[in-house]
Amino acid sequence: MKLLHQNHQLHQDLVLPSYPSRSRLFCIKPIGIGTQLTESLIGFTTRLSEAHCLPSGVLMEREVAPTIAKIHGGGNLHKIYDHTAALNGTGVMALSLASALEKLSGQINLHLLTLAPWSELMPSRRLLRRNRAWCSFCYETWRITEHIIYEPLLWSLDAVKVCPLHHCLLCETCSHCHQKNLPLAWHSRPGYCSKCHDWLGLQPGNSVNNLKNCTEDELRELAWITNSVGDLLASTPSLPLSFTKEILAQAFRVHVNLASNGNVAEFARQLQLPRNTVWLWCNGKNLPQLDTLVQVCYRLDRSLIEFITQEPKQSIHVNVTNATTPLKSKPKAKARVFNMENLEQQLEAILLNHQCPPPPLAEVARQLEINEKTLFRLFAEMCRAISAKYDKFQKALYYQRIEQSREEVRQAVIKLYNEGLYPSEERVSQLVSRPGYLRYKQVRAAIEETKLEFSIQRIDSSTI
Amino acid sequence: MTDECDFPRELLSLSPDQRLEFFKNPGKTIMHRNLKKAYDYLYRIVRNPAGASLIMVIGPSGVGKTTLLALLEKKILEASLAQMKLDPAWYPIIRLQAPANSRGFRWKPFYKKIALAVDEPCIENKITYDEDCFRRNKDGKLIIATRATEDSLYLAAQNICLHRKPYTLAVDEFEHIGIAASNEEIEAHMHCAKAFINDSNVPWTTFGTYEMLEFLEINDQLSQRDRVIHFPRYLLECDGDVAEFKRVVEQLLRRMPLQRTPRLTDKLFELCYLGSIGKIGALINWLTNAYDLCLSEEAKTLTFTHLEETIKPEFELEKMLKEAEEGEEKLMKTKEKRKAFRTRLGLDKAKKTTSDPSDNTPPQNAEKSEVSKNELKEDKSSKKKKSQPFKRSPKRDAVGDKPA
Ligand SMILES: [Zn+2]
Ligand SMILES: [Zn+2]
Repeated sequence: MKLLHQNHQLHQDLVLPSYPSRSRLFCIKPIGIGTQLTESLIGFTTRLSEAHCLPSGVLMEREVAPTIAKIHGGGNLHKIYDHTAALNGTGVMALSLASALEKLSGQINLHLLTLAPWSELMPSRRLLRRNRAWCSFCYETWRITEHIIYEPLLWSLDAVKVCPLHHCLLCETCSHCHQKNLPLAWHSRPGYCSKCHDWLGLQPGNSVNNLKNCTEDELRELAWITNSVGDLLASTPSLPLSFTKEILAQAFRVHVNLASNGNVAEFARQLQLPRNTVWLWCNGKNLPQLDTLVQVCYRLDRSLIEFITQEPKQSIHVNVTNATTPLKSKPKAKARVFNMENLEQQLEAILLNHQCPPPPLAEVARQLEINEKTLFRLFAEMCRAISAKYDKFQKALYYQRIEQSREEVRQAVIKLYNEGLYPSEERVSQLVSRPGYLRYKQVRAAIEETKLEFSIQRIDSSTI
Repeated sequence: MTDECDFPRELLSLSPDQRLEFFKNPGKTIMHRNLKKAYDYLYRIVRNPAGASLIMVIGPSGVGKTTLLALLEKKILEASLAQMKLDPAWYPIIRLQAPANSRGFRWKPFYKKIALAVDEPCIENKITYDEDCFRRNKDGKLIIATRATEDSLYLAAQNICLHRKPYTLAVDEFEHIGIAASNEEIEAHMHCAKAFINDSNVPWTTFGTYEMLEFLEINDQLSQRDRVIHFPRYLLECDGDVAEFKRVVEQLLRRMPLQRTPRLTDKLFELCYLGSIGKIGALINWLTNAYDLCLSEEAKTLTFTHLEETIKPEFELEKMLKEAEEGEEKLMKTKEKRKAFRTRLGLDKAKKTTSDPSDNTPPQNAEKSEVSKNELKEDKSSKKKKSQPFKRSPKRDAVGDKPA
């Protein structure tokens, strides 16, 4: 009886304690945050898919899209194939994917895997590559050293042409199937081609140096740019929250002061850029594209971060001689500052012109070198008028063609009767210039009408 | 005998269904000694496995293994709450039942159950990302498996363990892997389980009947990392067991919402033991049926008739007893077994067994407890002589046949 335990609990509750709900997806850790080789959000998505043994497309469609839909009302991989690059970018697509994945995985701060923290510094035009790019040496090294295979954000930037570690050109074409990859495809997988599923790491026998056509100067510039952009990405987590366009404009003004005593025109001349462009930068009215900005920095011998955050200690010089490619002025950026008056006049001219046929709105927009939607936004009334004019003309054209066809059909029926042939639809269709119009019932009706007309005539003649 | 009852008095005015429901699901379980012992030991190993990779909780059916698993799950969750808040992806324990299939155990549904246990997304769409999955047909066109294959589910289940990092994967009714299987098949299943454990680095806690002992016998290169926990029924030849079993019966009778709590006489005790052969889970199931009958008759108290009407037929009781005894035979540690083993090893060859005073100690005083891997090995080496040296004590054999 000594075994009878008066003290220990005679009962034990069986009700499970309530606990916080578990994350739907694994909470895998992003790689390299705070380094040049910070993982990209697209790469993170594909690693998450691989961990769950799912094609990226299935994960996006079944898990991510419904979560995004609740927040922003959109997002199915099939619908965004052409824009998947933007999932690494500065905008709402990147942020909504990041927040959806945060919600699903319990991981935090996934926006650090995108360019969203730099949205004030990086205009989205030509910011990201259209195709997936990779360094096959990196892949091979990671495979051999059993490092996790992943995709750095740096690789997805259009301004970055070479690998910061191996100083070779980033690849965009699979060496097995010779195809390009979308940034995020249905069967995306880190380190593997999304088309043929072969390994993208360096294969023995591949050319070791794909930069042999570059001069040393070009090489140096490419490496410098890569490092400078990489350092900027590395600084993302320590980014001051208040980073704004004004900081960049301020930086431009400081550099203009030191390089050319505040003379914008002189500074622009030294950079071989249009004066107006530089003036817009200095006033914060316009933003340089990342590739342009980093090339300006190269000519000033100031890294991107130095350019933005530190005032230069001594005077600086614009050095164009070490730059290998001329700075591109921004032809399309200029078009952004629309000459409204001029545009309006041109639209009026088009409306008044009795050009035949009148052009559709898309054609007008193309002629004026302006986006159709932008044009509509600016001149809605006139655009509607242009569209109406086009529609009216097309309608008239349609009726005209129907009438023409009816007449042709009539002639054909008469001809067939004269030859002693029955005017079947098939025989008629062989004789008219637009046989396809027989699908319209008005045109088909012309056969019957003519047949009737003739039988009446015959009856008439027989009774006489 | 005490008159106090262990249910809210107002239950007596409620419907019989509500009273039965209370008895069936009081939301708590009776902590009896064997359960408590297995529970404490199991919890200790699971939280700190010290290299154990396959923990096998073995006991006769109806002894309360599933209750033990429920208690384990509850305690692990309770101890993990703070950490679960910090780590939203962590599952401290993954619990499932080995799927039963009359044609034999299959791994694919087993992996699916792991996935279901953690609410894993898109289970039917799993792929392996290997060449197996991306095939080319004879025209070189790429074919991608559209449904999850066993390989892809294996990989998915592995990843679940790797990323969810539970203390243990708890598998109830693990004896199912032996259904309709030859020895070779069982051995292959055990290898498969061990490969999974090694790849995922998550120890398994398996719960099953004495049939699981066969797995250990077949798989001769018994891993150093296996651990067996014996969860036995109560035996009459041990005074402590008798007292504890009595206590549990009393507690159960007190929990029945009845006008008058039945008195536990020696005769009633014997019947209860006979009908459950000392297994608490079986006892509770039987008492539930008897109580149901009692309620349907609107009787004031539970009588012998209710128990006799609902007791299992003798042939079933005999089967239960045979199963239990065979398992116990292998797992019980007794001084006799130890001595015989020492003799086999040559440690005691000079001594005649009859001259040993400890020889008089009857086996019923033997210590029953979990068997460590070393002792199990002793059993294994001796089992080839199918328990010849360890005849059952006649006293024990008589228990089941005792008339009520
Ligand atoms: Zn590289
Ligand atoms: Zn390929």
